Amino acid sequence: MTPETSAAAQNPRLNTANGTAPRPTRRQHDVDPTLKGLSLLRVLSSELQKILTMRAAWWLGVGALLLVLLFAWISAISLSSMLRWQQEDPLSAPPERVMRDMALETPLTGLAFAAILVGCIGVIAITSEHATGSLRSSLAAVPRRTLLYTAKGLAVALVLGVLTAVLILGILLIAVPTAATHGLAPDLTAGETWHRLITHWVGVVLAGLIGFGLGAVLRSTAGGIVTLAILLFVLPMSLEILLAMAGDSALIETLHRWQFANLMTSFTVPDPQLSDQMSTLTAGLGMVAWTAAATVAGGLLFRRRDA
Amino acid sequence: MITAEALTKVYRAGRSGPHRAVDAISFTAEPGRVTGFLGPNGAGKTTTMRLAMGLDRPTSGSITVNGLPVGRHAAPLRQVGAVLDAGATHPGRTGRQHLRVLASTHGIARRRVDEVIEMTGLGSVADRRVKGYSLGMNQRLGIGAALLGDPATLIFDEPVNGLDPEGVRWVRQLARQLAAEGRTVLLSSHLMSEMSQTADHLIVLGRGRILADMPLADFIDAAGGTRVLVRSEDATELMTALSAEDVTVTAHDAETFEVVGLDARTIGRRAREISAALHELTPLRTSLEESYLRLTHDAVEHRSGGLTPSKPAAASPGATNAAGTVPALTSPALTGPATADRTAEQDGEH
Repeated sequence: MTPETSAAAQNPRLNTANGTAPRPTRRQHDVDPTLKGLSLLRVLSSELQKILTMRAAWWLGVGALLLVLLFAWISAISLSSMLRWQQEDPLSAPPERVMRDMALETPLTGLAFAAILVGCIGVIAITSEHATGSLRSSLAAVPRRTLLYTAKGLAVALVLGVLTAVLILGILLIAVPTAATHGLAPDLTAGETWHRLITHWVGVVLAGLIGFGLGAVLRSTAGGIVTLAILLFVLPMSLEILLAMAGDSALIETLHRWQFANLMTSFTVPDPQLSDQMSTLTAGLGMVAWTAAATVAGGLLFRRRDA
Repeated sequence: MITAEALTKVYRAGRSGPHRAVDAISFTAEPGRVTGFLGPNGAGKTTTMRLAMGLDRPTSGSITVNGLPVGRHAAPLRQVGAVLDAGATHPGRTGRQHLRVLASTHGIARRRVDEVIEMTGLGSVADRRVKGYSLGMNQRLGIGAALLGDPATLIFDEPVNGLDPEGVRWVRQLARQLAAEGRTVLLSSHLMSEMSQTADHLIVLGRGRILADMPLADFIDAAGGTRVLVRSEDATELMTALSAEDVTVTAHDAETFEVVGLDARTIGRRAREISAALHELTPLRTSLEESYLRLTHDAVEHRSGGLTPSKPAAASPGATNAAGTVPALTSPALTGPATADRTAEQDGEH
């Protein structure tokens, strides 16, 4: 054994590469292993703060609330007119059961329009990070992209869930007293009422999550919002027109049947016979499939692309 | 510690076909010292730093921070902090909100956020929205974010951009202090004066490859060595006496010349031997900037057109040597592309 190898055996820090003196030892900063690290809950908390500190998200939320309140108010006026009509011409006016349904269902239609604003929050939750470059800061803190994307998606779902609940509450605060004054107050303990409220809530949140997925795929706020608007409004209208023009086309009928807006209509109506014979479960699964397609595609691209 | 092994990144997008931004580089940035990352624009410095932070994925090879790819650490903010882009913040949030959002991911206390705000001098603007920040404030916020987790490794890409002189000095002292605490500091800058005052070790990149990986002093010595400025009324005799195979003598004027290849002591002895009267004998060290420009001469992708002098160069005294060929302040060894920019800076980097 040479003197160098012998010395190295005794002192592994000794540099014997050229048989000279050991390298000067440097201090090394050690990370305290007991300190907290990443977890889904912590990243979720961070993502919630991100959404709640975005002014655009608040403006969109306030806009959605004003929109549904406006719809509820117009619905209340409409209901009063119909009741007057019923008093004047009881034979041609809709039956009371239909009127009772309308007392809740018509105000809730505002949610279908508010869904685009709610969806915009989903879009900007992710595209704002791309647009501003803050995604680089986020990834420096949370380099595990699946964790970051999952937490972001959950945060979007939570925020939109609360927002949609507030929207529904706002609608009820206008619709229920108005209906009650005419003796048409919905039975808030009835399963049918809760079915309407919950399915509307789920539908709007899923539309928002589709917006989130589109934002992740397109990485563009304008692109995400336009695509969402096409999906929620333009595609249903286009398919309606095509269906009217070529009524016997099985392809167009199938597309129309499975487009998101039609599924949402079927999903929210308690009586399947009124919803083109598609059950609530089938419609719900169809909506989940749309949401999964957008969010999973977004997640895969988010994982793979350079930031 | 940052370790790159055969790290390669090829960008496939673009009209000109695949672009090899980083080409099979291997290096180690060790703890306890500031490693300077130098290279011309497009050399691959930022790409390498982005690869280290997991923002881009290597085409092949690997880069690890403290032994693991950054994404595999349980607490990444405690392992590595980075300033890669001063604008990597949401303009609608306040500085404090930005730091709190990042701190939340690791359960870092709000007290630490306040500490970092004070440390970076942002106390008075921490509750203002980031869109109102100057470039310097943004840079300080980025540095604050990097320091949040008190990490073992720091990556600073052009950290002094936009900072005022006090801020520049603060960053220099901070980098030195962090290294003295045993942390790994990888720092890129185009300011050679800053780099020469801050870095212990240099890694120089050019066209995605490593051109040099050595201590700062060795880099300067390897590039140009020591020159000696000599002033003597017997200049011609002394220049003849000093002539040798490995010695370069460049005349500035009738009494002044520069010697490369001999030290001042030897020149002084030779002058005494031939009884030459000496008026000046000044060792001149090659600056980091000169060394850098010489090394990266062939690796510059984006070359500026140069400056057109308003007067003929000969108007300046000493612009030509005795042979009438070599500009006075340009050593024969230094034939970089930016001579016009460089001459006035000759003594500025010592």
